[in-house]
Amino acid sequence: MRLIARLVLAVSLLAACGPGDGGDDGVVVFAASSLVDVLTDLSADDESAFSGAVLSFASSASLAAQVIDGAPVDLIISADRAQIDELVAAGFGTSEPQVVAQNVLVIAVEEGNPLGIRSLDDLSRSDVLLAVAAPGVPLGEYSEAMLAAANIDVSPVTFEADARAVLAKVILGEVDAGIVYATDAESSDDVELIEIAEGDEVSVEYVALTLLDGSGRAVELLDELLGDRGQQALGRRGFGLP
Amino acid sequence: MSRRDRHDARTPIVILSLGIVAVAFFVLPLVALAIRVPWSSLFDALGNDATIEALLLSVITSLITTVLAVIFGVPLAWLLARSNLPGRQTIRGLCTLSMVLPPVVAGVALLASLGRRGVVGQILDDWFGVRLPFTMPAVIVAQLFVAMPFLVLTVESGFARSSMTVEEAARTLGATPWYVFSRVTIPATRPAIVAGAVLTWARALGEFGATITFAGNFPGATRTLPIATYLALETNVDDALLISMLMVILSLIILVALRGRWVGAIGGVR
Repeated sequence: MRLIARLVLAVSLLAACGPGDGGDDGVVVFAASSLVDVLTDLSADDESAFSGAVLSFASSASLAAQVIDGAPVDLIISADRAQIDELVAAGFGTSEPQVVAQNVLVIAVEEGNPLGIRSLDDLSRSDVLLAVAAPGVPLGEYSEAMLAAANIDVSPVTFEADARAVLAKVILGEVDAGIVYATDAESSDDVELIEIAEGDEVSVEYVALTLLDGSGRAVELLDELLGDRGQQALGRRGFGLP
Repeated sequence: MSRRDRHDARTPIVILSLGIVAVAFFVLPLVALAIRVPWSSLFDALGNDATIEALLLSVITSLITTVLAVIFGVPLAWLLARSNLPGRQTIRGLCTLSMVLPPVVAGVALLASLGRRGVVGQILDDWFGVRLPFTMPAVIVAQLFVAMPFLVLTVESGFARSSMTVEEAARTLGATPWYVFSRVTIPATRPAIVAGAVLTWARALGEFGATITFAGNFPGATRTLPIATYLALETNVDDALLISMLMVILSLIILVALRGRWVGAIGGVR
């Protein structure tokens, strides 16, 4: 059992290496997982208000739930207005919600598109393994609405927790296609992006809200996102501008 | 753990206070969970097909995992404890590494080996048309990978501790090696095997990271209770609390049921 004791010690040490609690007076930003590249770009820029910020990425729904449970966050950027409305209604906001960027849904397929997937219709083919985001996650809700509006019946093999998880399954070749945000598909060289036909496409707005429990620098962060530096960074990663 | 032992030693105040902090640390989250659970809708949750489906899947897969862990883990433990296999230390390290790996890493490793494009998975797909990811067997593979080491280590120390004189006597009397193993060695280490199986079962029941990475999330096939809890947090926090409580109750029932008989055995394995 001495081995077990040693293993337990190793596990506790590993666990202690997790992300910090924000520490000091660091600014904390919660953002939808599809914004990971943009905000990481910004935080690497010394002149940016995001420089040194603690960034946390997850699905918008779980981020909003954490804010409601008292996480000390300055700014939240959600991929779905519903979560922001919920926070405003609960009195967590300090200003009006602002649209900072836009995105569209696309189909991500393997490089070379071996199955010749061209449209949403192809996703219902029985030889196509499809991954989508889980219902309840904004991307999952958008995907479901899009497929329902286009009247297409699909049988996904998995309902992933967020956009990046869907993309990962496509990149690893475990599925043939996944419905993700355009910016996620563009972030990887290992997938090809199939646009959704006009009429069926769904666009998504990213809504930011400055929060009550933060360190007080939320407005500075929001101004930067809406200003030149932020909008250029968003544009570079393929986001539409408000 | 007789009554006399407890009275003989006077408890130093430092130990007592630190011990109480430790107890509070374990009890507080459970009490808090019980307080926040919307008990009035507990029966609604139990009537919810999706929750029941996840519950059944969790129970079935974790039990199959436990059986497989015993079938393969006991021989492995015997090899580690009793054989002259060269490089036993290395083998033990390799076979138990998965219990200290972050489960998500275990999931990625499983995809790399058994995924559709994995080293072995590709062959399975090309030759037999077998695809593991997103199926119930994938859930079991993920659980087995992270949970079996608990059984192997527990049983190995059981073999190491059990006296070999009876086995030698049996051999002297002409028993075959298999007869000695199945009729003498195994019964002698049964407490360790049961304890290891319980640990493995508990770890398998709670498995999340490797499962969602390797097996994905599909209702009825790969959405186990922990995954259902995680996704419910995204949609309905009350549901998440209820499912969490369900898991606590389930674990508690097993722990209490096994107490007198087997949990003592876990403590007895040193």
